Amino acid sequence: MTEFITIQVGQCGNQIGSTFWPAVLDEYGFQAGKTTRKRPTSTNFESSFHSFFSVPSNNKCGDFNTLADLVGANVKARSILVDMEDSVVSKFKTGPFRSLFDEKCIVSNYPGSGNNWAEGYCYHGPLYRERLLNVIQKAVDKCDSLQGFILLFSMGGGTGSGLGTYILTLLADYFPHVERFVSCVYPTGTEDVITCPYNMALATRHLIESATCVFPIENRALFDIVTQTLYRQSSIVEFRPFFDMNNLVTNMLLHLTSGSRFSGSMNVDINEINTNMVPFPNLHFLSSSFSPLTRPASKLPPQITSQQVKYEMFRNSCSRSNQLIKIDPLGANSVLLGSTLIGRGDFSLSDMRNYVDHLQTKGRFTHWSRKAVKVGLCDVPPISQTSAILTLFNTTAMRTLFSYILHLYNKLYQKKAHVHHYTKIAGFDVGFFSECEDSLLNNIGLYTDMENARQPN
Amino acid sequence: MSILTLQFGQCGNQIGKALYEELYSDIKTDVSKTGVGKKANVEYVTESVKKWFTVNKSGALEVRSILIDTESKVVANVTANGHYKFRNVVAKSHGGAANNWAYGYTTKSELLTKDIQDGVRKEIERDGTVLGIMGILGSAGGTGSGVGSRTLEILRDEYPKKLITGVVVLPYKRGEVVTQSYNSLLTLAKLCNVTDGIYLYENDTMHKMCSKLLSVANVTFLNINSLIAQQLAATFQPLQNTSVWDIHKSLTPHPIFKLIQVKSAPHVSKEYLKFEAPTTWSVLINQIRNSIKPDLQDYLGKFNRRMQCTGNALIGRGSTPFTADDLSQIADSALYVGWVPSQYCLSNFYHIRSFKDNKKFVTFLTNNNYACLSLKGVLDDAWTLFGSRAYLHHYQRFNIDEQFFLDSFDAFETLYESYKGL
Repeated sequence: MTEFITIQVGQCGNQIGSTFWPAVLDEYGFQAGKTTRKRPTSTNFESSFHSFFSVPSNNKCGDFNTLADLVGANVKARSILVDMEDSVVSKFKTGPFRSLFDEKCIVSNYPGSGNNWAEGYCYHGPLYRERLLNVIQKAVDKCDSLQGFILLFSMGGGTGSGLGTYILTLLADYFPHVERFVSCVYPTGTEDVITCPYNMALATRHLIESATCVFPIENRALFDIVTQTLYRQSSIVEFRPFFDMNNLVTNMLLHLTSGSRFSGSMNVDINEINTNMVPFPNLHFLSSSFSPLTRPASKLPPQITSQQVKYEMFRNSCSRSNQLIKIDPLGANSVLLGSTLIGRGDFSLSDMRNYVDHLQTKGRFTHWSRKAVKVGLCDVPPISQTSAILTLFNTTAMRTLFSYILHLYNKLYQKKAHVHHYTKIAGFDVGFFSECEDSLLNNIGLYTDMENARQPN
Repeated sequence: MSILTLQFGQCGNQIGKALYEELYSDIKTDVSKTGVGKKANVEYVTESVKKWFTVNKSGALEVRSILIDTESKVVANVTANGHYKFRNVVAKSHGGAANNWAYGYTTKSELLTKDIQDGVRKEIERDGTVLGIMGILGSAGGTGSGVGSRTLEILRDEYPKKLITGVVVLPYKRGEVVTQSYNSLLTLAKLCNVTDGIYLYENDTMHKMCSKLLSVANVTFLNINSLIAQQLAATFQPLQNTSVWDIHKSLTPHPIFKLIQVKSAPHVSKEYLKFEAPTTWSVLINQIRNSIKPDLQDYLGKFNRRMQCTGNALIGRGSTPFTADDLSQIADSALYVGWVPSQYCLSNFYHIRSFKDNKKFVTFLTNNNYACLSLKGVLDDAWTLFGSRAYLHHYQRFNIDEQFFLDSFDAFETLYESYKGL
């Protein structure tokens, strides 16, 4: 029974959370307004449900059939909500899932951070420190065997990036033995905030230093997936880009956590991903993708997935167009340092072994990383699907994300534009700028070294 | 004389589960198919039950086994069985060992070993019949390999005179877990030191057996595990006037050579079985002889030495004993290293009662130089990673430093070279 605490910071983090939790419940068979529960087959519901929900000890999970049962038994999501205004958090307070969130785990009414990383990290962080620690400690106390924190926030604004990375460093200080996974959204392509490059760069430095694994997501990649892949499917007639983009992130998180929530003949717990995917310290940014890309459908496809369709899924999930960041894992700029394939539903061991073979011939590797492929199988497919596949890559192409951030950052910083907004905040050292630049450059250098060390094909 | 099994991690627990299913179905085989009379069958069953189970006050069978895992998911699956009970489950659910031997060995084991030791002590003191302890584990992950290594090391200290063996399953060469070569290396280096013998299995070999001999189209771990379980059951079920020590003594004549490979016959798919003629020992032994030779294409580099064994044991279960003619196929002195006296080269054991519904079933335990091929795969992969210092920081976090690795490499290479040089 491994447990994870999710911490949602800022508007973006809470929006993702607001679709994530209903989807998790849905996968367990609980739906708002429904009175019966369609149990997924072959799961150890009893033990896996604890991973993401705390259940008071006098209850048996097997007895729960409806959302009302969960509410009645005082079941709470292991989740901490942090936001400046009530706007998004208030949805949690009023929606059908409201009683699943512990009021004590909501930190709100927090004044905005003015799209300024420094305000979140240097001012509000220390100011709210005790309150945050209290809330985190309460959530931790409810766990028997806490495996990790999962942080969700955006890198562009002030709250997500500033306070988010502040919480990350708090966790690193106070819970050094608990893994820290971060899924963060880079608002690339839609940088509506002028100081966004600073925020991204300053926050990224702390991700490099304090996170166990980072699953970065780029807005422009989400946008392209939605417009170029999803909306070409004939089944979709109504366009809801924001809904669909959030949904992509939610689905990725669902796949990622599936091994911790359900059983499988080759179980992949999230904490195994760190050991398998991170060959050297600091190189812990992983590109994620999954297939099929669809909206949740209303009914299950009639038969089991054919070999051909499964193979297509695998190929799509390795392709550039399915990655949640703008890189091509099998392209010319990519040397793979680690790969993970997690099949859900109909995938078999032999399928996965075939895919590993394909991957090993298609991709480029260092002389030691060709065999660095982790394979997982989870029995339970996503809702309304018979199978799905998640792939994670640790690739040197991640360099392009860092370069891109650095490029945007330099454009501003060369003119020292808006720097005074940061330096005026007490606790912000002007050295933070050069330090984050060094940190980014250092990581770019590490990736370049790896690329040069690759094995000639 | 009984055997206590310790099932470590996901792989160990799955094989353990399959093993007791196999044993139970052997015990429950219809007496008309066993080739012996009712009385003889009862004797056999009684002995078998004594060996693997205990009977509790209400008459139910309880397995002489301790289930050890850091995640309760797999253990929960194993314990769900109507025919017999699992008494001992040590699963402090504090999360898995993250595919990291060091995490299992230095950290996770801290939480578990005291309970395991208590469990083992209770089992041993229960009726004083426990002769051997058999640890079953997969070497790829962190729990089985790390916690397993540490536990057997501790038990070795506590029970210097018990027969402690390991059943170690090596992962697919093309990878299940990225750090599998490190984990396998550290496991084997440790276990060769602390156990009396290691039954070495490779997923690749078993996979091939399932697909080629049993014609399984989509091989799963279930197939592989039940094959391993079948071989273990057929080896360790009761034999006339023989204890596990007798089998074991003949196989490991030298403290460095402890790796035992298991072959068995017949293995045919159920479809073919209908058309098979009654078989003879010499046919089966011939099949085994052919299966010993590994498919050298699977292995990197050339290895064209003849097979050299330090000791073999043949176990037959069926209506007639082996004749000298049957044995001659594998008794050839050219097969054996010069320093083993010829009378100790090949030992054979026999029981008249059939194994399950096989009229004749033979298992062959062999300790030979081809073991170096399995070792080489692990060694090469581990050196490749270690050469770039890749993944070491995960191990250092749990107090396994470079020096520890170098010492393990050293021990492992000695083992490899010794087998290669046979």
